[in-house]
Amino acid sequence: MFLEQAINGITLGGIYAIVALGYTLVFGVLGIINMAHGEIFMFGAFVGMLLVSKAGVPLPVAFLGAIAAAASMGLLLDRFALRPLRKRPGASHLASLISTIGVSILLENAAHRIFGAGNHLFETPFSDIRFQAGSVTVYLVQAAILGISLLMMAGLSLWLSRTRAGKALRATAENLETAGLLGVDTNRMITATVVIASAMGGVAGVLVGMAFNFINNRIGLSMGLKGLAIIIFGGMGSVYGAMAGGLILGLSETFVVAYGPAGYRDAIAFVTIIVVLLVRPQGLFGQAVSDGKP
Amino acid sequence: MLEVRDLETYYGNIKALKGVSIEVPEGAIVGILGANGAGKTTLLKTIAGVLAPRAGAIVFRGEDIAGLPSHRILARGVALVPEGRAILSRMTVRENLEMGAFIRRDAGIAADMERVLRRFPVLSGRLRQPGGSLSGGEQQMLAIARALLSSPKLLLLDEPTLGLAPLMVAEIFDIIREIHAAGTTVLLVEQNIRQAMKVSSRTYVMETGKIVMEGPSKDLLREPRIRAAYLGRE
Ligand SMILES: Nc1ncnc2c1ncn2[C@@H]1O[C@H](COP(=O)(O)OP(=O)(O)OP(=O)(O)O)[C@@H](O)[C@H]1O
Ligand SMILES: [Mg+2]
Repeated sequence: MFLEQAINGITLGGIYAIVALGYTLVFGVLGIINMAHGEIFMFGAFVGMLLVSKAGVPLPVAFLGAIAAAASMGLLLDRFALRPLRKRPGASHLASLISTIGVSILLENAAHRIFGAGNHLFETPFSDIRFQAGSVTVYLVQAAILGISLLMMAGLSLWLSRTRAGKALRATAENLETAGLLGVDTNRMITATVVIASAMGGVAGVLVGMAFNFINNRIGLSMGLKGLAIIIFGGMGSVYGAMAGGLILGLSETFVVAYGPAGYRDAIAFVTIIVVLLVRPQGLFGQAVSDGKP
Repeated sequence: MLEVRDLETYYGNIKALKGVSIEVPEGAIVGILGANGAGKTTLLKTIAGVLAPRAGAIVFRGEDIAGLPSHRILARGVALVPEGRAILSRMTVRENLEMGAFIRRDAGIAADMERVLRRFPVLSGRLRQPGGSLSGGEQQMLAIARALLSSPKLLLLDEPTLGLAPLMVAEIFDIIREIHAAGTTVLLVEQNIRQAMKVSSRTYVMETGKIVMEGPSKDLLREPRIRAAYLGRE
């Protein structure tokens, strides 16, 4: 029972972590929270749902479709809502925050029009397959979700720490001006970051569909709020904070439901976060702000 | 090599450069001095593309580079070591150096990295440390080493000795001489005026966004107005 719950918690936490990574990457380079990320994630889920449940294509193809759709939305978001504001010296970076809020409202309404307000079944072909190990039951879907999210986290960490482009992204996140002086085309780097973060949102969308078997046009908001809470909890802009924060939130939620008052699921998760922030205001992995820059 | 003509740069509505013209011949060390707030940093940042000028020209090796973004200007061979060093403090010393060579694709990077580490031995023992954990002098070494790894033709140095102990100041000036001897042209902003005027062949004096005096450094060193305003009565 305990082990099963732990597996459930890590699976959920993995999804949370992927969502939170999307926020944290963009926060790193732009210094703002991309309020449209939750909605891009939701569109990823819908594209995945259409491909799997309606078109009946294999799951990997649905992932590719969701990634392509979410990445294109990220590109459009940057091109039309963020980049025009970057070119203006003196424009407050809050302007781009407002801009992403606008896009999120637009996308949410669009989803309502296209897909309606009801639940849509997300049928995973192998949703009944499970393994029995002693008294522990593990569903193949869970193993797949866990595998994919761990793979993405490991891949992102390696990319950021080992590759030329990953290092350039970290340099851009730490100091835009310095990165430019070192030869990084920071404008392109920001665009690339928004696209990568959105693509990860698309993956997370499909993972949520697989985990809960249904999606609707409100998952963007609810997942978005969790993602936000996680990056505040983990430390704004911190990649490892998003990963650890996601896993901790997933585990604490699952155990609250299993052993505590299920109705307090969200409340207790957020109480955990508030307690951590009272002790460490900069978040788990956050750096205390000393130089006025996030 | 570099010719700046009638350059005007603004911060919002504040005019920080009011028509600055300077010339840096190939192979020279040229110095810029001036009181706090004179516009020295603004001038270097405009040349390096961090700030865009509102008027004037910056001609580098025959091409006007005014207003280009900084990564393009670096690609043409102009590197800036900014005031305050601008070390990437969360990245390791090695990663800082690797980022120095970011624009290069040639095969000589590894050899250059070794050469730089031999020249700056304090860095070679600290490659895995975060850049932010270095002392001020070490950070300045790192900033200069990092800029050199882009193989610049023109190196802009903004107060490289600021806040350093006398021994470290002497070391930095030795390094500047070596860089120059190795064929790199240098434009140097300094507050250590006497030493700066000794290494440079030509000096410009800035005041409130304008060049107010210029000439061969050894002549300016004897100039009574310079002695009174900047060198004190020694
Ligand atoms: N970001 C900024 N916004 C507004 N005004 C600025 C900004 N940076 C500099 N200034 C102003 O522009 C003028 C020139 O500043 P600059 O930093 O170029 O001087 P400096 O000669 O480098 O001085 P220092 O010797 O103190 O480094 C100053 O009056 C300064 O107050
Ligand atoms: Mg200055």
